[in-house]
Amino acid sequence: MGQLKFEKDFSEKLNKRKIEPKAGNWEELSARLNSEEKSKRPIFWWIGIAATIVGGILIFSILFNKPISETPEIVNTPEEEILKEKIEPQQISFEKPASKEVAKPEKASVKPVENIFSKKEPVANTQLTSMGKPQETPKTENNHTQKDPELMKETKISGIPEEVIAEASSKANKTGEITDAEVDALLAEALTKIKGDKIAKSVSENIDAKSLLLGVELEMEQSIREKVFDVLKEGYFKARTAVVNRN
Amino acid sequence: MKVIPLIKNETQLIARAIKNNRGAQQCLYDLHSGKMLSVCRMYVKDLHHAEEVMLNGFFKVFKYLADFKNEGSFEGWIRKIMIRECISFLRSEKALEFKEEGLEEFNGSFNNIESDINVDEIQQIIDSLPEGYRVVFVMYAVEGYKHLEISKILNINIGTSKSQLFKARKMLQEKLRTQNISGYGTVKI
Repeated sequence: MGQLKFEKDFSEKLNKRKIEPKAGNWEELSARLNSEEKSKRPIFWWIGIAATIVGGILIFSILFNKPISETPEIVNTPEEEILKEKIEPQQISFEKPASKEVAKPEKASVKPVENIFSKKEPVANTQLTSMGKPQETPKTENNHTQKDPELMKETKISGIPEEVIAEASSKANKTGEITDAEVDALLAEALTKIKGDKIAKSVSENIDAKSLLLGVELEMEQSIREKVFDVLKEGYFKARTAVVNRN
Repeated sequence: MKVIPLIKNETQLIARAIKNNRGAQQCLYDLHSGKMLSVCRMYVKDLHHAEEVMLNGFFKVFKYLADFKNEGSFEGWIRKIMIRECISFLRSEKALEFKEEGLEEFNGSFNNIESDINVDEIQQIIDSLPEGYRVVFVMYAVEGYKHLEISKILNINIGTSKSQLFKARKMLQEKLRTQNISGYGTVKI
């Protein structure tokens, strides 16, 4: 279907036509454009405010997360060091004399002593959880305490009460020989005293003032952080609702 | 006396208008408003409404001016916006309705009538057409759109577009004949 003659005429005449609009039309359009621009600006402002709030939250979260991650490290490191300090001097105290004085005549008798204390110490640190085990120790100690009074002196360091050692040494000096029954009795007495001391120690170790303080500090820090987060959250939500209401 | 340099280059004006330069925007408005109001008037009967539609169109023109790529003519781009604005106005007024009809009924011929009437009379004749006929007729005969394009813009079938044009032509011919306009020759369509 092509264009008809009258259609061509219509098209030419209509396309040439110009109708002048009213004088105030541009002012009306200009006002509309101005209001459009103004309505755009506050949105940018609100977006900027929201962005700064979010940025602030991120910065605070980074700042407040750091000390929390560091505090456990501060607490853990001294504990490890203390444990090492506890274990090391004992090992040294037993190894040195054993190598110097007891090494050649009674090699077999030295080894059980080391074993006893290497087993016993962790038990002491873990607050004496098992109480039945020490019954085996008198038998092992029995062999080397019979003939070695100097070795008995060394056991003093490991925790055997001085009274028991003194009694044993006096008996040995008087009679020259100590019977197995006497040794057993002395060791049993020593064990009961050691147990008593360790229980007392464990009771004192249970309530650690430092750990308590650190725990409280950690809780305090967490609560402050939560408060700051709450305040920032509130601000952010307020800004967001304001933007939504504005739109 | 201050000499204000006149910016004749349209691309410069557009560039400034994109940056919300009101002066440049006014220049563009002054350049095209006359023609665009004429375009709007072809679709919208009432001049006051046509002006409203034109202002809405110009508002969109300046709002989306950054999207204009200097590929085609600026006038053509504005014209498209105006036509779409007119169609959406007619739709909002519920004036634009199309009857789905088969093309078979409209295989006829037209007397190739030549008109010698002025623009105002042409406008009057076009105004007398029903909305659907008028829109399709103006789009096809005056704006030069193809039936496929018309069907896409108006969201109708190509057949409907053709039938609307057929009826519009028939009505216009009759009106021209009654106005004692001389006609000669016949053309088969």
